[in-house]
Amino acid sequence: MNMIISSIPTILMIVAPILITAIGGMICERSGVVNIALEGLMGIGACAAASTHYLMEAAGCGRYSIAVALLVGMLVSGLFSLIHAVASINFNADQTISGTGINLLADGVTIFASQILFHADRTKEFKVGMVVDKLGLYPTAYIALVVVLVAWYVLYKTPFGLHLRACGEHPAAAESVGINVRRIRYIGVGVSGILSGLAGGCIVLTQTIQYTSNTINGRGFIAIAAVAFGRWTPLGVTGAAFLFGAAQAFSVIATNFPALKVIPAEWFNMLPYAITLIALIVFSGKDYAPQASGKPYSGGAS
Amino acid sequence: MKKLFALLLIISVVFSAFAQGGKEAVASSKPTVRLLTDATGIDDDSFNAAAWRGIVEFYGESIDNTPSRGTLYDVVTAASADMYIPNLKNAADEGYDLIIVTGFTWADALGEVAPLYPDQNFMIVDVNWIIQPNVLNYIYGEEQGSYLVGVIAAEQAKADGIKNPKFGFIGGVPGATITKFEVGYVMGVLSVFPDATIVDYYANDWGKPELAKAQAKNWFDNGVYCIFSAAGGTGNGTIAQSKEYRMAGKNVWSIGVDSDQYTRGIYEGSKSSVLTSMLKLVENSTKDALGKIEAGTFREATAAAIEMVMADGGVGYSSANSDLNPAAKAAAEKAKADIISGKIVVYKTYKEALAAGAVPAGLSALDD
Repeated sequence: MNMIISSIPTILMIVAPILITAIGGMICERSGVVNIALEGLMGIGACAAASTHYLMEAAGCGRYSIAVALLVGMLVSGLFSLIHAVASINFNADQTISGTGINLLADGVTIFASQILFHADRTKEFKVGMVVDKLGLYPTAYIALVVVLVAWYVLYKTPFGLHLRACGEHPAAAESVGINVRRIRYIGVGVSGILSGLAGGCIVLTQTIQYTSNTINGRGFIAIAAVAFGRWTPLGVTGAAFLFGAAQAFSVIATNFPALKVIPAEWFNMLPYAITLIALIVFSGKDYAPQASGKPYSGGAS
Repeated sequence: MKKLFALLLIISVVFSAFAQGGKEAVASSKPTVRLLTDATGIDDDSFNAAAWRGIVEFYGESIDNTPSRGTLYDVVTAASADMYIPNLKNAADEGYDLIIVTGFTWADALGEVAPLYPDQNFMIVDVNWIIQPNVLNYIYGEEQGSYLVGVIAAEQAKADGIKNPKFGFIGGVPGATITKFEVGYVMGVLSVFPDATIVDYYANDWGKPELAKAQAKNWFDNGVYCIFSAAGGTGNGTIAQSKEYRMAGKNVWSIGVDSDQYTRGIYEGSKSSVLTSMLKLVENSTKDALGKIEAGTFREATAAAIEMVMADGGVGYSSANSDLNPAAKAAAEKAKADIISGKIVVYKTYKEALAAGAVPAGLSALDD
């Protein structure tokens, strides 16, 4: 029991970045654009945050550098996501291809930036990342909570949220009542970029000491799965992210119980991914996806 | 738009082909060499970095100042495993005096390519089964260096007056190479505390620091005093967690691997949470091989793998951390002398160590 309670901070550490990214991906899809570039955008944000934090720490202004690093990560990743917005909204490009392009590009760009800044394929290791509070929690847990609550409020309680959802369901109808579909979709993509950058920064500042090309390690794709498995709602996405995070934490903790040692370790390593897959299958059925998600909208349907 | 993407893609592929650059022929008595690495590249603070350092130092240059790069020596990083054979063949076609590959992941590719180029000299680290007249194999006595860091961890705990200390080991992907680290470390710890509790964990991945961090937190919370990670990038998680806990006033340590990871653990001034590191001096083997090429004795040495053990200066420990207790250092020096003299024999496999009663049963180490 003690072990379960003491693993809660670990679960939250793993869940928070996935949840933040998934909320961004959800907003993007609700506006009608599929964003499979989350993985790459997280990498961009992680690299920017790690570099900023290291440089500020080295310059002696470590006190504010965590916050500044997260902001820089959000900004850079948000700007980077505009590539996807331009390709998929202005040029009606295939959103899967554009997203894949960004994922591939992000790998190269982050390594290139590290080469310029640090003459290495990775950022230099910083000294101190985020520290835990009295409850043993990282600030990322609270950041994730705020992100979920704000996303829920904006989506369901404000006119803007209604407009955004309309653009994802039926853009032509939305436009007929005077909503600027392109503008809304730009905001959707931009928000997913900013949140991915924030999540990337959270990963690098809570889980490791530098950015390398495999810091993100597929968690952007897990976030995409969480969006679908969570049925494009804030509560569902939160549950999905928690299930995945708990499964991953369990895969680590389970190895400490002698009784569970008879099961090969590979089974536990597989667990988070297997659970994600099984959940996707079990909870599929009715199509909950936004109707127009992934479909280019050329606008001005006469 | 799609056409534009395709065009950009083609252009970037074409340019990346040029990016490797051609080697200019220079009239020099110094041998020419190419290092081929896996995807992690030469900035891994680990064996690729060490191999590169050995090459650079052989030419009397330094990592930050490499004027002969591109003429006498260069490096090509394989983005994925399917590039191993093409990269080897390319290098062989260009005709270097020596081609160096690091790590057992290259073994199959090298075993296939080396016979095709009988006049080309190759060298590989961490492999002892590619015995061919043109291939020099180097292996390391990691178990001996790991024994020393195990002794240091235990002696430090003793000096700190810790009652019933526990010790942890985090490995990357289980296998014979990492088992050498674990067996050596455990034997070192048990030589000081014969009844100490040992916990171990394999992340099954070289690049997932979050798993090591989760496990390190869990262990530190349950009374583990020191964790040795031989897990590549995964080990960063252990270092991150030990930093956090030391900053919060907990007396816990991590131990680095391959290169001296003291600087990675620095959290304040010169205080580092990395107590010591198990050093595996791969630079010695690249220097050694280049020396043999220069002296013309390379082919005479290829009949059997060259083992770099403690007596050859192949492995050791770092004493960079000023918090390292003098008693722990003295004990490590004594153990080092005993290993060199043969008084202490450190086992390489879990099976042997278990049969000798030197390690407890139930560890996750694998011998194949």
